[in-house]
Amino acid sequence: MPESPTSSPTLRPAADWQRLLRVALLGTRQSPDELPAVPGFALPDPTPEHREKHALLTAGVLSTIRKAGYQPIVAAASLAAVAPPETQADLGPNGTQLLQQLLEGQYPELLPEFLSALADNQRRAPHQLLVLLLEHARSRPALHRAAAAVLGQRGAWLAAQNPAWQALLAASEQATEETAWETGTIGQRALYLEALRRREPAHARELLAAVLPQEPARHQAQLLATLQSQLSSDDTPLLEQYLTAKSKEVRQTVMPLLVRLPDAPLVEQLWQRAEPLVRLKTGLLSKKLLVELPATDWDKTWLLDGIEQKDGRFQGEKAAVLGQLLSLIPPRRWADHWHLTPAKILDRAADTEWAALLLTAWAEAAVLHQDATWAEALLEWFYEQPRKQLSTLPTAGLAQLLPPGRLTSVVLPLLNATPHLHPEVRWLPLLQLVPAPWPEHLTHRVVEVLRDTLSKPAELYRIQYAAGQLLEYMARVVPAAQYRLCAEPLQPLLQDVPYLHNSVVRLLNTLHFRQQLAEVLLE
Amino acid sequence: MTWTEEQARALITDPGTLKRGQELAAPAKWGNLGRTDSAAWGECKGSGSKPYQTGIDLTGPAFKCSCPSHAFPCKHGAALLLLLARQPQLLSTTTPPPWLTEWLDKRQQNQEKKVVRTQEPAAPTADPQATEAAAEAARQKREAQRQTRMQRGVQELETWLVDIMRAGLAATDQQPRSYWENQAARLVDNQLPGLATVVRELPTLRHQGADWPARMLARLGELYLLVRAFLRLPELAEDARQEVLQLVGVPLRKEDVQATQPAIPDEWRVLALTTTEEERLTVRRAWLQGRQTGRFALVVEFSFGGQAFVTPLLPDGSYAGELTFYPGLLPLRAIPGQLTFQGTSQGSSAPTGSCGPAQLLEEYAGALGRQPWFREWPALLTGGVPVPTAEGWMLRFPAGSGGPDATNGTSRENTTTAIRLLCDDLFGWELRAISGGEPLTIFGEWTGQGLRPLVGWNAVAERQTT
Repeated sequence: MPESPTSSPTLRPAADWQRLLRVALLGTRQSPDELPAVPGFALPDPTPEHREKHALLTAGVLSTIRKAGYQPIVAAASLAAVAPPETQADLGPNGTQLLQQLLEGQYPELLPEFLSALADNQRRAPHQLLVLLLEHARSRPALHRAAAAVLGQRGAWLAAQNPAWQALLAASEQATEETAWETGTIGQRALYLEALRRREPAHARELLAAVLPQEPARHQAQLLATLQSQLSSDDTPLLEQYLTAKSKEVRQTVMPLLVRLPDAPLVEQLWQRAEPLVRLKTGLLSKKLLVELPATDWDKTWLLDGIEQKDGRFQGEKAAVLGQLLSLIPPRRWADHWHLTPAKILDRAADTEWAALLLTAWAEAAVLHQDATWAEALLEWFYEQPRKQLSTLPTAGLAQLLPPGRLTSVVLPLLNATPHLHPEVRWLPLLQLVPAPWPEHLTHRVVEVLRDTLSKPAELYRIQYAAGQLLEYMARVVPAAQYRLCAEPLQPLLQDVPYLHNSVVRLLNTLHFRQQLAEVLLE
Repeated sequence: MTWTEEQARALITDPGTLKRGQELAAPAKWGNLGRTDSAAWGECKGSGSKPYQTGIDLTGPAFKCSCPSHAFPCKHGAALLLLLARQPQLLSTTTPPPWLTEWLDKRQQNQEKKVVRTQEPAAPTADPQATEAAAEAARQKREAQRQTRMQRGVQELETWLVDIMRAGLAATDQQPRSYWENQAARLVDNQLPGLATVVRELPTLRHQGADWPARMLARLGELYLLVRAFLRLPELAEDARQEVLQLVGVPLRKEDVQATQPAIPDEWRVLALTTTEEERLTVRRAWLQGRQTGRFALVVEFSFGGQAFVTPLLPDGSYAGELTFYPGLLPLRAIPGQLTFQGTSQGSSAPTGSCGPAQLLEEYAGALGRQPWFREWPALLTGGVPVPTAEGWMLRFPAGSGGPDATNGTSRENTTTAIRLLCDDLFGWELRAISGGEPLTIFGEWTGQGLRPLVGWNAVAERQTT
């Protein structure tokens, strides 16, 4: 091959390349144009197919020359945006690796809680995981706020530059953003109002009162619901205005708020209507509840007191009226009135023919008025023995009202009374309402029961579903520190629990993983 | 030594095994976990009544498992390795069980045998000279046939190229797949698989953007240069001849390369590892750099069906030992000899020997002058900031930065230079996340159109709390 040319004045790689490309596109047969030549690269003249070979050779040489002569793009200097220095420590190497596993989809249920724990411990995601974190959270709005809190300075700097990630940043600031109120979606506006309500309840109410008339009913309900924080008697006029709204959804939003106001006049009206219908009759030896339905049918005047014509929770029109009355009045009012404990009242109620109605309504009332005493009495009464007549009680809502530890002391006696697991066992649903963190003695007892039950292989297929659910719930609520407490009795069983093998493994692995997550916060 | 997650993952070649290993890499199913400095072991409960016995010889590393899987490592081995990386404290026993020691001993013996075998190469086996002469004659005959076929194949290719040029590139747009495939198949038949690969790539250029005619013309021209070079093979110098023969696809046996080429001893650092999947074949490209020589080396290895690669290379690992480079004008591809693992680079600090864009382009032009056909040039580039622009990711060099450029006379204070980054959007963001707007050191492959980044290091490594 001929030598490379030294710099030659006739070589114009860019222009020559364009000329050559034109010829090559059309083909040498159709294009009579002269071919460019690279000095030093020539074919002997009489070569057959000289023109084609010459074009090919020149293409190869010019292409190489153009690559070798690559010029960087020259641009005007722009202000270099540099990320501000970090103010928080990042995760250590083990934490980085665990976070990566979570972001890659292992134990997805643990990610939100770990991100919050990171933020609480003033730690941030390391730089090399920021893109993975932002991409993971991008399509999961529920994670936006938690992810935004661990981005650190670098992550916030990065996310601000990519339109796909800006929404995520907005999640952290959304609540303070005035524009969200002006132009945001209904969800964003409700969020804004909620935050404002916490800081300046009166101002929030004014904003709300100004916009409500123009809003469709569904939005009215959603926005009115924000009044539940910092609720005070100042809100009464606004709430009463919407008590008679055309939309049932709006009325049902306003009603519970109104009855929760201290010394609400509405509660007095309801009491006046309800008190004559449920009477305590004191006999010589016992006390009995006498229940009557309202004498007249429902008419529009009931609406002024917030009582609807129909209510899905209660069957029959008159029964629905009574049920609604009872579910709106604070339940402690009855205990005070009759000088009876909730437990005694419940026993009397169970003896009436309206037991289901009374208990459902009082349970709803206990949840509405956040009455822990009544909630505990209701749960104890309900789980004490099979209550066939009552299929539905808002047990989850009641359980939430109990102070931590109280629910455990309701469950444990039940558990000790029937210490084995089968799908109909009474304590099972209640146990799955005991929130995290489970106390050690509860975990200990439940694991004992599980071990005993799982050691009887003949029963396994029957309890497979129930036990699977329980194990899954335990993976969320048993503190990671109690891993050994679970692993020691359960691990030896793994070989012989065909139906539940994976559930047990998953519980142990999840607890172990959570234990590691807790450790890396201190790393 | 301690193992990192990334290193463990690099040894698990099959993505399915990695996924199943991840699920198993938790203590619940394991018993009798233990390790020494050179081995790790454990028993994993599977579906059978007896747990599987899993062991790793960390000096290899090599895997053993009593499960019936044919993959190495199997999911149990993968899980054990991940456990070792994630929670070494779980591997608490220190006395290896009998089944492990037995295996380790056997491995030891095998390795000694191998050494002995290689030490007595081709012991004269009292061959009658007659058969040797006959074999030599047969070999020469095969060689002559091969030469003829290759000559014919290259001439055919020249004619085909001339036809394309006569009819014009615009006409190739309508050609069916078979037009390209047939030509490639003929080249394979004529024992020119290297040229066949180039021909097969030609139709794919049409999908790479509106400027495909320019790309196609460049590729055809370069191919034609190779054709011309091949036709004048006897006139070329020895190293050029070697280069051209490898480019057209004459296979070179590893043993021959190692026998004829000098072995380069150094401490080699792994800069980048990339693996790609083609059906069941995994291809791993590893770029290495010698600490003393500063030389770059590309080690390409293949793994079929989840088997381990011949040379276990870890990201950021350092290896003492020899590499043998394939002969040619621009020796980059190399074959590893015995490499001894030296640990991994502390805190992943940037490797030394990086340069600015001006020096890179200078070296690249020089390399093209020696060998115009290579596709990518190793680039350890420093001083650039990754920036997203409307035209894609750019590596921008602030004015007055980048060492050699700044000293190069002409001060252009109000301008910056930039080169194109050839990477997907998310990788660009990852580089930017590491950079924080500050200049990075990037290792990648310079293609002549831009830099395909493979790894980035921030000048100020992020503080690692331990």
